[in-house]
Amino acid sequence: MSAIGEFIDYVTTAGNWTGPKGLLRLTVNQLLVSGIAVVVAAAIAVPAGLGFGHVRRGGLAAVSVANIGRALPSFAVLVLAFGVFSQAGRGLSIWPTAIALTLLAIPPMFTNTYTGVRGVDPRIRDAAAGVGMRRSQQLWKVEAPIALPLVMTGIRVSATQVVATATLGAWVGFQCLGTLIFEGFAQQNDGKIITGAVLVSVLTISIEVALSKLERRLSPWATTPSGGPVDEPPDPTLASPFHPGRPA
Amino acid sequence: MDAAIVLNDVTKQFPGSADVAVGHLSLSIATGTITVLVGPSGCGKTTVLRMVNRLVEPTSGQILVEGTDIRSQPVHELRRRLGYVIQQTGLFPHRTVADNIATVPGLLGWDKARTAARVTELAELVGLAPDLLDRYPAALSGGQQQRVGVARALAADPPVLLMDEPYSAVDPIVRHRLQDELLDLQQRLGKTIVLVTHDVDEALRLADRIAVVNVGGRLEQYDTPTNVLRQPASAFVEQFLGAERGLRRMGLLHVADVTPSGGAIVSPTDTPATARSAMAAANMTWVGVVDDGRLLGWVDGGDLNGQATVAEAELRPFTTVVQPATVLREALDVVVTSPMLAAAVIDPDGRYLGMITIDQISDGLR
Amino acid sequence: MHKGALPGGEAMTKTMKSTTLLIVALLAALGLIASACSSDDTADAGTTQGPQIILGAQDFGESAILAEIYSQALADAGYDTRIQTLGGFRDISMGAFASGEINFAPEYVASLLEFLNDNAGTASGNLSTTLAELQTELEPLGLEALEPAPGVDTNAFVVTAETSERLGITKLSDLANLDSPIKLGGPADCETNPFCIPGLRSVYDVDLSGSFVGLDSGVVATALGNGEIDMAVLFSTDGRIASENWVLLEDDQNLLAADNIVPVVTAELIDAYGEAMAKVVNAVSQKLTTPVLIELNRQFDVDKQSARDIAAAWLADNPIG
Ligand SMILES: Nc1ncnc2c1ncn2[C@@H]1O[C@H](COP(=O)(O)OP(=O)(O)OP(=O)(O)O)[C@@H](O)[C@H]1O
Ligand SMILES: [Mg+2]
Repeated sequence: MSAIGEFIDYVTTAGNWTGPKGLLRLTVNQLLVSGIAVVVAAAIAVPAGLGFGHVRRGGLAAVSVANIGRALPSFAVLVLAFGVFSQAGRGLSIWPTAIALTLLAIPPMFTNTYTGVRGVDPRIRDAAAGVGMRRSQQLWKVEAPIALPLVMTGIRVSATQVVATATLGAWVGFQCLGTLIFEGFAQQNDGKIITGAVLVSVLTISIEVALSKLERRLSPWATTPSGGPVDEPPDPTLASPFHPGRPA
Repeated sequence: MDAAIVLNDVTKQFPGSADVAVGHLSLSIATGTITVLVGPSGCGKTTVLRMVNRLVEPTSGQILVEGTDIRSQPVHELRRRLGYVIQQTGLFPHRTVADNIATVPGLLGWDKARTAARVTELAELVGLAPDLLDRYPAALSGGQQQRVGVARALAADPPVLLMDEPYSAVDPIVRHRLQDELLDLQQRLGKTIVLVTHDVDEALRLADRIAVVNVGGRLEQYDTPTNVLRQPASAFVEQFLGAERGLRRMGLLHVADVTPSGGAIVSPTDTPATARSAMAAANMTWVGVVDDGRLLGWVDGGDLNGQATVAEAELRPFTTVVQPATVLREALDVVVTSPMLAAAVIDPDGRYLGMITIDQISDGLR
Repeated sequence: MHKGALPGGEAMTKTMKSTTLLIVALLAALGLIASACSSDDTADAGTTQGPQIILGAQDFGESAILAEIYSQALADAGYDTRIQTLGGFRDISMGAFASGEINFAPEYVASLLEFLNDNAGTASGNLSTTLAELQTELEPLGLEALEPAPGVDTNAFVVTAETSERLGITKLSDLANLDSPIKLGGPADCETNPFCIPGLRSVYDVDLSGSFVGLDSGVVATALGNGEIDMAVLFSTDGRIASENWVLLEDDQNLLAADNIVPVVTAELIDAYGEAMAKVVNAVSQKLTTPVLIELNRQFDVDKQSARDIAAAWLADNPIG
């Protein structure tokens, strides 16, 4: 049977969708663990990025530290996390996967947030201080909103990476879409493998698209057409280089 | 005149730099005037301005705004009383024009209605079309952005406006228009304005008082534009003002600033003999005809031949006329291009005030 | 991490179809597969004339150690040898034979048979009949199995000493007496592997499918050690069974197959070198008992020594001929 045939066969079998290892449950779990990881990572990385970006100090060191998470292979982190949680008797739970994914999600969010705040035009920061904003107002009313497109980019990059990588959770006993791939390989079930791969891809692409839309929705100003503005036409009455109406 | 801003022996040395950016500067800026700080690049103009709103902290010395030391109040409160306009505007790109203008009212917690009314009022004041209010700054021209910057600075009606090279990013024609608008605005609102530029013409155009600053924030001269032009206090100032100081000064003075001569005039009832002796006395070949304070025209010797009175001669219309408000530089142009090398000064009611020639103009510049 | 799909498992029975290749490519993109296709040159100056002996090593410790041992022993005997590192799937190693990339591979009797006959289920605990069937399957492929080693690497059902004592289980038939099924963890193929859950059901009448959790082979032992699972499917030669003092449940009703180590070579190699080479190889195989394998694996998994060093040290202690 062709790959597409096996795939169609698998997804059109009603029994494959329900039950504790059904596609619905596996999809929910994949999204759940990804959601936890993205939210926890955002709760850590975004405030940290805003803070370092605002004080404009120590950011490079922090970026390097955050990037250690990127340098470590996700699977190695997952196995380590499993070992740690396992010692507390919680290895066979959502947490090793959630933590490994959190570590994976932090670097893009932190780096983008930091870069976004750090990159705010100094004249705009000056203006924010100059109009009489307190430090916190400068951050929240000016720097953070201007950094928002980059913050959202970081979240989007992290989220897509996380959803795709959540697949690995299957290898440490977390039931998710990866389970289809994990078992499919061991059991030579091509229908399972391709169903898992297709569903993971569909989720990843959907999240990418949804977050891109949200990104544009949240920062309408960032998409203003740049070509347009033309300076006002010259005033023909201004012939003399000296001011005509200056009172004596 | 009381002082809005006073700098007392203010010095700024940036950490890690050998030279002072501003050294022992004392300056008193009168309320309701436009003071322009002018000087070469890097001389410390921006630093002076930023010390006033505490974006830069002085190394030593004291600064008073409206009589109180700027360190005696929370910095954000100080800044809300000092409107700040910078080069290329520093507008918030993520806020609409209306929201940019409403920044300080927002910080002060004004209610919606009051803020909206103020935004409308300011947009009109600075000449922004209402349909621009919902745009983001990126969709405005440079001149429009500059107006928004001024409106934002004025929003909470601060007594003082600090402007750092506000017009350096717009083309000369727009710059002129904005400068006119600023003068107009200041006339109407009576703000104390401190403006930084390195454009001498801009300084001369706008300033009530010019502070010419040399490298290291040294004050070379602090005086009215005409005085600075008439009597540069140092070689530095003279060189900085550049060539054509006389012409530049004439650009600032008006016909009213010079004393016209009475001129060779006669009344219509005078005889040709009287007219001829007036010409001879003034060493001229023509004479003006004035009746009841009005200039009727002029005649020369030939016109008077065979006439009983001046009135019988055919009067020629007087075309080279200036008003007291005419800029002296334009008046000079009229004089030197007139066949008689003179212009009549007529007030707006048509009353004859006298004649000016090169002599009166050069006396006025002395 | 695909070790679980090899010795005791069915491994991949079908040759890799394009769909499967597509999935492998997808997974590779997801970072699931650490590509391990570098070649490892052992440049020993050979004195015997003939084709170079290229040994295929799978990406798990035991395979690497065995390849090194055979390679070094042959090199010592004057043959020109080289080790080719392969991925973790049996499709790949068999494909490598077909394409001529390798001509020698340490294999497992029963698992290889089941792979070649499409899981016909003819492999059994009887070594000689299973081996005979294997030779029949190999012949049309131009391959031949040399003498199998006494050492067996098969699925092992392992519990901790504490669990063994508490539940009173030392052999697989004891499992039937338990009130509730114990929690089993192992490679994902266990659910369908005739030597795992289905075999336990048919031979021992215990159904563990409801309490099974599939795990990467790298974390099965961790989960067992931390008490997250009660019983683990490991390899009988896993070094941690010895080092952790775990209890390997006795296969008292002969569920498990004769997965003895067996060197598989090409007929071409036999033709070229004949008995002389077989003698060297067989001498090595004879010494590879299960306890030896457990110890060698322990040095790899627990002591983290390299396969090359482990092999060299073992050959020094156990000179051939
Ligand atoms: N934050 C700073 N740190 C160190 N040095 C500074 C800083 N800001 C300004 N300076 C130095 O202080 C001196 C005065 O700078 P300032 O910006 O006040 O000059 P300016 O007169 O405004 O020049 P321009 O016309 O080019 O804007 C310069 O030498 C400048 O390099
Ligand atoms: Mg400056």
